[in-house]
Amino acid sequence: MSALVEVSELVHDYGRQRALHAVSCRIERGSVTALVGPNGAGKTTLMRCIAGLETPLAGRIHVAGVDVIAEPRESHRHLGFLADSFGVYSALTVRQALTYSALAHGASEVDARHAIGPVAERLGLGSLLDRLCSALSRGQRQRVAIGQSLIHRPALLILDEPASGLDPEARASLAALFRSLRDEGMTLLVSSHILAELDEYSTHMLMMRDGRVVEYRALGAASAEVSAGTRRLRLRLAVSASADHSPLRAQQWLVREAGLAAMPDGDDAQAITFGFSGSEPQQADLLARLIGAGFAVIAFAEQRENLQQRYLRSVGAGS
Amino acid sequence: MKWNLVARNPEFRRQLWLEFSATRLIGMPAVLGLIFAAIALRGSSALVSIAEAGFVVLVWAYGARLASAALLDEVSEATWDAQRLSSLTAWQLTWGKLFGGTAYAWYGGAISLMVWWAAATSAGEALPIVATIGLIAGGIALQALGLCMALAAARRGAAGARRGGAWWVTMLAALPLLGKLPFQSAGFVVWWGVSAPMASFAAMTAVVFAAWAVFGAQRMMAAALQVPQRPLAWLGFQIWIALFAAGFGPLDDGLWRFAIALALVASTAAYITLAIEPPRLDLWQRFAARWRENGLGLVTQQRAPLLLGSLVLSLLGGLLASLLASWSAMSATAGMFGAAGLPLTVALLTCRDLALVAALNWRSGIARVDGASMVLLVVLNLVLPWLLLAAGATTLSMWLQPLLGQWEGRLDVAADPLLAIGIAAVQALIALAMARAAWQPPQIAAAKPLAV
Repeated sequence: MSALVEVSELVHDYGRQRALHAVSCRIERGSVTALVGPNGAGKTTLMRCIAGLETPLAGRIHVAGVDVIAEPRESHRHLGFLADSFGVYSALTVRQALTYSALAHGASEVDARHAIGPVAERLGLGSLLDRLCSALSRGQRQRVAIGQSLIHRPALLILDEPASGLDPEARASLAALFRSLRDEGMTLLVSSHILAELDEYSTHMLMMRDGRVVEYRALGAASAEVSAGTRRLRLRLAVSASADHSPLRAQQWLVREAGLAAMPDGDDAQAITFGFSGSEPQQADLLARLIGAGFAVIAFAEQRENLQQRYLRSVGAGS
Repeated sequence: MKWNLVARNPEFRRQLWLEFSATRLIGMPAVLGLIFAAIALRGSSALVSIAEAGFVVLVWAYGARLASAALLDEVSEATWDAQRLSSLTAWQLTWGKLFGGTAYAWYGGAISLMVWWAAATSAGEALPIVATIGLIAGGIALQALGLCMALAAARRGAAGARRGGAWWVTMLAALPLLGKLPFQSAGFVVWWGVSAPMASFAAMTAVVFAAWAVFGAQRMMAAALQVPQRPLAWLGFQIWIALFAAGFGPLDDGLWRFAIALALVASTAAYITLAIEPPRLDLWQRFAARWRENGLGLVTQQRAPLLLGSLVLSLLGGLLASLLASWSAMSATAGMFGAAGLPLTVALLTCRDLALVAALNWRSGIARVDGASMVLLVVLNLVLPWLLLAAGATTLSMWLQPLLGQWEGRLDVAADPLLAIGIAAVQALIALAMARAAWQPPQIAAAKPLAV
């Protein structure tokens, strides 16, 4: 994948307070990057710099090849941004708000008219087009704000805490929207404290702490481990297993019989994890052999580290 | 053509959506019609002046309020960032807000204007074309200033972005200056040796001020959109004001009058920058970082603080005026202004004041730095010198404020220009040293990544 966003040695200060310390990162085209980190890590500042809303002290930012610092207005054709404290034009109807946003991003009159319907339908605003924004619920206003930020089909959509203040149903529909945008090839940079949600649609994680990038990596199926042909399997045995078929015996059996570097799962005394590079039939054969050896297997599956686990592991390592 | 113009500017169209509802469209002529009809039916001859006053109230006062609200409502509704993220140019946003946001005031103003003209012609008066041009230009100037004030308030943060505050500042600052222009009707004026009827000159002056105000709003809008730009408009405006002010007088010492006007105008402008672009540490660090990286090239000039340009102009004007006053024959005006000492003394004292304010801004741990700066300037320039005078310490007072010493007859800057300049220069150097001590150069070396 090529990079849509390239940030190089970015430094930003608020008075004497340094918010970003020579931050460098790349956002791959077509990816959904979860921007995570504790409060005060510099996530919002980085997003605002990429969006051209702040002028940094030093460094370079390019979005779709456009120098954001030198040509902020040109870069805005390529990006949409939903701020944490977003607002909508309360005195306008939803249709007017979307029309204005499309035209303000350079769409022609005809294109703007054609864009409103599909965006409104996709966001569940089809029946609300002629309603004043002031008469909408928070969730509906949030959808209008998202509609305004993506109506010009930006290559990059930046969202700062998009799910905050939404009920579970609205959050679920928001996650579905982001998945569909990802599937259409849009690049998303999403900041949120709700990591379980980010996990649903993110392909990459960019972790920040104290104004620095701590870690950037692909998640899930695209992770480095999997691309190297190895996946992590987790075996769990029944609690009632005898001493001869305990987790410890199973670990020893895997090392001895299958040549696998099995280790106890730190969180679960009945579980063992190990890396496995074989094919799926070989994985099925290994399971059959374990059961044949008398181990009471109740779970045997690939272990995918979720975003929360990865985040906490990184935080733990960092501290 | 008209609709094409509207279609090309979404911001103008949005403002029209907001400003014109059926109720408001009917409401304005209904209310104005009732007022004007009541006056006309009573047979009052005051209809001409009432209609004219109606235009002033609607277009000047209400219009300036709507112009500042066109921006500050965005801030309060949290839509300003989204607008800054659009592809609209600074010019589109400026005139969209300026003429779209005030369209309702112009609607009422147009009705008042028509009544004014009709009443004037029916009373046997000539059509007040020149006065109308002046009034319209004054309205545009005030509205553009209202937008400028709102942009400055938005830049300073939420506390300054109060809608009413920006309007009051516009009215108090600009109305006494601009308000008189359209009402100058009698006599002639001589400007740079050219004689012109006062009414025409005042109307043209209002037009030029309006053009500068709109241009200023556009430049401030561009700054709000983070568009890099050199401060040429700001410098040009100060030079134009100095040229304008210096034009009223004999031609023989015109250059000297221009120089002294430049020193005084640029000094005033330097204080004004404290309101529109406070000397925050990060602003100056960005400038210093570009200077370090690119020298004084275009990129550095685009980050130059407005304050710096005003100070340079002020010192140049002061120096030129002092030199010209020393070498040329003194006119009566030159003698009245303290000739050689005053302009450079004023420029140096301005430099002192602003260096101290910069030091306050750059030092850490000072809460409410804008308020502290204001108190410092008032104490240093007014309270302390007068207190020392009252206590009989006139020499000390003179050393603190040489201009005040002249007033008291203890130090005549015309007679002792070098002494006054010397005192001001020493104070400016001390203040610059304090600013230097508070300065923290930009640290932009690459930081080590966290070990994880």
